[in-house]
Amino acid sequence: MERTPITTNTRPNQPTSPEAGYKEPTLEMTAEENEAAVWLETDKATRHFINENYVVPSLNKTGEWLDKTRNIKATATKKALLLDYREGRTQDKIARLKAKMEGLDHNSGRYRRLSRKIGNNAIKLGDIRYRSGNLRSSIENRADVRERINSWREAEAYIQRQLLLVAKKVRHEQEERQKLKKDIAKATSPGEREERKAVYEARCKEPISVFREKLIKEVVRNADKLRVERKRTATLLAGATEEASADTETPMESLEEHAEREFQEFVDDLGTKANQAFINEMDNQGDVLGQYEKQLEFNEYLEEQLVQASTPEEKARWQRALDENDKKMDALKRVMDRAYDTIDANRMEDEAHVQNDMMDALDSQQ
Amino acid sequence: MTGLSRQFLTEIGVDMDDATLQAFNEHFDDTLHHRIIDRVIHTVDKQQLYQLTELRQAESDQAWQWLQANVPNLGDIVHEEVDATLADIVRNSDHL
Repeated sequence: MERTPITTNTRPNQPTSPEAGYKEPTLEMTAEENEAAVWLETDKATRHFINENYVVPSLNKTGEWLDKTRNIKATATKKALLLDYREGRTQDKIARLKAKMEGLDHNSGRYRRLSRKIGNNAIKLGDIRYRSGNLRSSIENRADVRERINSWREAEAYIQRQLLLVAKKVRHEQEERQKLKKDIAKATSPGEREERKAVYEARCKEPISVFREKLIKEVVRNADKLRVERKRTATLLAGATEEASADTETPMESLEEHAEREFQEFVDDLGTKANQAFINEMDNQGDVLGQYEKQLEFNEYLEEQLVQASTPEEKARWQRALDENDKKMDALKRVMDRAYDTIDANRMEDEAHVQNDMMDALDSQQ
Repeated sequence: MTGLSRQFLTEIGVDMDDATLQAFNEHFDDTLHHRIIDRVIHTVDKQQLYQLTELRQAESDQAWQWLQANVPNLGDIVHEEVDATLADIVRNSDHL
């Protein structure tokens, strides 16, 4: 059995009432928000409080939720059944009219009136069959479009992974540069100091922003490949929409335009938006990284004090201080990791938004 | 830990053994909680966030009381996140 995580769509797209004070999530979380979120998430009492008071009562209503969902899904089936019923009724009517015509003089007025009625009903029957066929072909096309959407999702997941990798590479590069900088201070002779300085300068010749841009460009190139696939699917959707438009009263023209615009905006933004989100994250990272470095320096100081401590009491005191500092450093590391996860989550949110709109567009065809 | 009933999963066409159900529900619980907290954090203003950070630094265990006092629409948030998570599960039920 194939296992897929729930987290395919990480953010909800349902509206929340403005009165409820809902603020549209921004692309990036600040370091403070990240820290607070990590803390709240790991706090057992908070989790228990939320679960007992809100989650459990909500989950007790999953039956009602399912019924509501089923009603929406049943609409398409009901519509198809209604068309079947109307087709059968029109066929019966034509049969009855034909029966009435039997034995009549072809030149009589009654015969001509019945003939005209049969003609009108035949046109109606053709129309019903045409609409019924469109509805079914639209349902079949939905499956095809869904398949293609899944293929985007794979491609987008790949790009998201690449973005994450970029963030990690940049972080690694920053850490390496910091290490080289510290090595200069630890040099034991002027010659060694000059040598280490040269290594550091060679490494930092290219600013970190340029280093990052180069990596981002590579990701954007891959995003272009995705753009081609999205266009193909948009064409397919347009075809499905055109076929179904004769059948439903939905303004298909605007629906198609809407879907197309959503694709285009998403694809066009893929490079720049991802880049901006990434830059914002890295700015936050810069602050956190600064704090982390300070803690690291403090750690070195504490270690020195521990070595120099002469009594067991002193040693224990410095060891406690070291342990505390370790905890702080771990927390900062978690904040940094969480920031990278945020990039990934935001990409997923964008993807989910476009995908949900697509699904809504397809559903409304029925 | 909260979780989905076997009956709900059966109704959406998902069948799993007990061990898988337990792992799935743990994942569901974590995912849901993560989404709720993210929404809460995005809902509060800077001053409230500051208060929260202060609580954290004081190593207070009263975070849930702060939530109760500062996030009056917590029920709506949880309800919406539960709905959204259920929708995700139903949408992906073919792959479960």
